[in-house]
Amino acid sequence: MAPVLKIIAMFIGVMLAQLYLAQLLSLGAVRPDFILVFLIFASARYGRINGILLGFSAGLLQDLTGSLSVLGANALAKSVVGYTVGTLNGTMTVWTPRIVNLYIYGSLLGHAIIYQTIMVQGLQASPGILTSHILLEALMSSAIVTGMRYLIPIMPSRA
Amino acid sequence: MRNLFELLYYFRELLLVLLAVLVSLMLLLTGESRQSFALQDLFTGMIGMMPRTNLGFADIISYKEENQVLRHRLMQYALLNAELVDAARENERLRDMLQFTEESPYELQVAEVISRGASSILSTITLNVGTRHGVEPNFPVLALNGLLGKTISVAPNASIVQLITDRNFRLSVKVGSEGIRGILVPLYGPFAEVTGIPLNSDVRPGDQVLTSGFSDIYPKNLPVALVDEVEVTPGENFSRVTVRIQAEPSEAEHVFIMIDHGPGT
Repeated sequence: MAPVLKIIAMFIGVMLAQLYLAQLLSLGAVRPDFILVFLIFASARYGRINGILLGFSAGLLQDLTGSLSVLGANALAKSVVGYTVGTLNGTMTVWTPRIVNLYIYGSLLGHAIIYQTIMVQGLQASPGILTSHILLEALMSSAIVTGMRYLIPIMPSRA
Repeated sequence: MRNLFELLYYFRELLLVLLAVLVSLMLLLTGESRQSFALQDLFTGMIGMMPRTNLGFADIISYKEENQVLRHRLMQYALLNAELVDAARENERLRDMLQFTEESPYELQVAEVISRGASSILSTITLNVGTRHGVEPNFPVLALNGLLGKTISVAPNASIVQLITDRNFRLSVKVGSEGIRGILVPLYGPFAEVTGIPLNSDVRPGDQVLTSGFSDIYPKNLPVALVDEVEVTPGENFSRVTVRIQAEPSEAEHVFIMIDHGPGT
């Protein structure tokens, strides 16, 4: 199957999981973002350009299922993640696993900061609430990515 | 010229991400445009056509719990109903005496929650009814405990509901025994703040928050929240009234849409 068709087929599956299953794994007001996890793997494998395009379109679709007052929030955060994680495509054989891990978790934290900061705009939420939301989302995404990496390796093994 | 193209090609990835960021920011600034709503309507229709998931065992457990709660509630309502029947008779008699015309009752459409959106923060839910069932945008949506939100995008067989907990939701409400008017502004999770409550108002924790009726969308006296905390800061003109929203959007499986809700007062 061509890479584009493969990505689209996998994305539809992930989108369905996000629509119907994410609520079951929610913690407080924050739910896991399977689309972000998929974006991490897809960008690392297919590079920056595909990462940006996938991040923007997947984020936009995600935004369309929610309130239109924040249309573009996911698209913005995920475009940036697609770009940053897409860098891994050419550097994985050069960087050590520790740096790759830091890079991925840093991108997840970056996504949480951008998205949650936009989401609390206009609310009378204290900095404590914003910080807790950011940490909760970043930790949740990191946990899923870590778990998935046992099933789908991002880095080629160094024999 | 060739150098320019080479330069653009060299920085293509950076330019692409900048373009994506720029378009996203434009969407954020003009999110609630007519085109956006049209696109969301289309997307809502697609979600409505998707096959339902059968979660099996987990669903059975949650339905069992919900069933128990509903039975308990049914018993409470049966007891309450006896009192209400008596009160209704008296009301009817008094209305006759005052020659009031009878108000039309609300027409409710039962709907099933088929999706809770794809964002990592719950701000909307998708229902399995749409224009074919008489639903239109800006219809109030109720859960068993109280007001849940309003319809914002409606397709033939599905509709998206903006939840009361969404950051952009605002509602005119009345609080306490005196019915002090204020505006409900969501805070975080199930909490919200009622703004515009004067310092000398008699508002206490546990007081009921109801819709005021100053709206074309929501009729008056729909249950919304309970007062959680009243904070008085010296030097301020208004009390800080924090309330707990009664409807639980993350747990609602079936909801009610007010098809015929009449005008606000």
